[in-house]
Amino acid sequence: MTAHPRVLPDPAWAIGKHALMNLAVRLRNGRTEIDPSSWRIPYQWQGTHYQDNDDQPFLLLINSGGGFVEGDTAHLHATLDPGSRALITTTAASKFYKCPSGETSAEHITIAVGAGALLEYCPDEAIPFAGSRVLRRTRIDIAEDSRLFATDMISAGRIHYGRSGEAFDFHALDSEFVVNLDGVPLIIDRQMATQPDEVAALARMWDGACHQATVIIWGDLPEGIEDRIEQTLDGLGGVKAGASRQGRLLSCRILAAETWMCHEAIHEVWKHVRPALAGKPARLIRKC
Amino acid sequence: MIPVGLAVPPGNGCDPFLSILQVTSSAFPTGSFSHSYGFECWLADRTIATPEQAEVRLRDWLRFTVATADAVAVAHAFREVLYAEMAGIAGLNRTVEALKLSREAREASAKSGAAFMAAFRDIFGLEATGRLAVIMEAHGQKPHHAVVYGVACAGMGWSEAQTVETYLYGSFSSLAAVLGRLLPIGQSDLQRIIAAAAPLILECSEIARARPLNDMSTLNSALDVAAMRHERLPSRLCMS
Repeated sequence: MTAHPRVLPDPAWAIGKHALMNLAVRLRNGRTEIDPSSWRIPYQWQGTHYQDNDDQPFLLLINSGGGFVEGDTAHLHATLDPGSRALITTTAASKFYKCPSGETSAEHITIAVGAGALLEYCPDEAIPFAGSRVLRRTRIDIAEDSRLFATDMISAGRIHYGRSGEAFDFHALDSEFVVNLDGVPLIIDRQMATQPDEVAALARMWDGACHQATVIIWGDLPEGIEDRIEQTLDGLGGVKAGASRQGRLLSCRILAAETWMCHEAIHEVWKHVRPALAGKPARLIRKC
Repeated sequence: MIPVGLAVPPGNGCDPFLSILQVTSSAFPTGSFSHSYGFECWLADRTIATPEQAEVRLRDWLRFTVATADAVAVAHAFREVLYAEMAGIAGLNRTVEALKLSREAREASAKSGAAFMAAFRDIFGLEATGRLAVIMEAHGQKPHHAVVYGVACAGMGWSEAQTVETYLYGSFSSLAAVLGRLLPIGQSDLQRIIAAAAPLILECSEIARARPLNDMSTLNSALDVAAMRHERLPSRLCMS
């Protein structure tokens, strides 16, 4: 029996301001099932789907708040049984609204993937609105024989809002996307734009793109797949991307002009790796 | 060859000025002249086509990649030697590696680290880098350039400010020299770019030395893309 430790709510957490979801991903009844061992609003539990019509549940995480108002915090904590497999995504982008009082809005994701388990974690993008202060922490722990497809996408803001948009108009973005292998850091994709010159430089750092994604893959992958991924991404308009491989680790960095272009690039990477990771093709995830 | 006895902490009365000149000299064998960290890809696709474009990207690299990541590791490695008996050096080295997203970025850092370690062993017979080698071996790790640099300079008796500033200067001037070979930039223009970076180097040193270990980070996503794409560049003069 796998232990599924939970994050317990702090009594100081304000109701409605501090979301919490504890998930236990279990092997049961010949398939993987996800139990919400506890949750607090604005996270909502509405069950899972088996969109591939097999043993793998798809969880569409719902934050009924619609976004992060100043000072809002969310914690998602999940543990996958050894040998289980699950896909976790969101119903919509994580929108971080303006923080006029100087407070920070925060999102904490921690997922432990058991031995031989497969996690496909592909949330929608984070959108830091003008004037927002954003703290993001995503930590995924894997074992040597786990399999992982994990994405992290950040937009520059509400790109097409109003006449000129809101790109890179937030006050602070402190974002960390970490994958640990057997407790040791494998990838630390930490981006801190908390000073005015750092926020101002981001447009240059992203080479004029408005959306950025990181894709981290861990598993037994075919020879030369990184070359084929990069070749595919080269064929997408409005996208600049690279792929790099070290043994079982494959990382991709994607920069894109538009949201849909970034989503398409991520999906193309998934199409390449999913047959090797999950033994089945990638699919368009139904969210409605 | 400098006698081993010269490389001792300042408490023993040694002025580190000459050793600073030697270690920061382009003749010091670190292999950094063969690494572009992805810049060669920008030259190949004409993202960088002029000395002015090269200077902007060099300065951004120093401020938003080196100052907030590797130079922070230099400062912390330096403190590990002086104040912590290197108890956290293996963890620091792992963090430095994990922050590098592409294979070539990791390999460049590890290769420079190995070259630096060998140079300090062979030239100065430095005890601190000898201990680092033992720790790295025990943890099955390859020492990264920033970590070796911080440890070695602490062992040489430099100050923390000298260590971080020379690391920043050396990183900037080495990469500028690499670009000088690949772009039509005159020697004087190249030196002007390096001279103009002096205030930025001091600013970056302040940033690096004040930054906590858990805030080591980089912002240059476009360079990550370039570094990854460099792996498949058909014609290349640099290893990274």
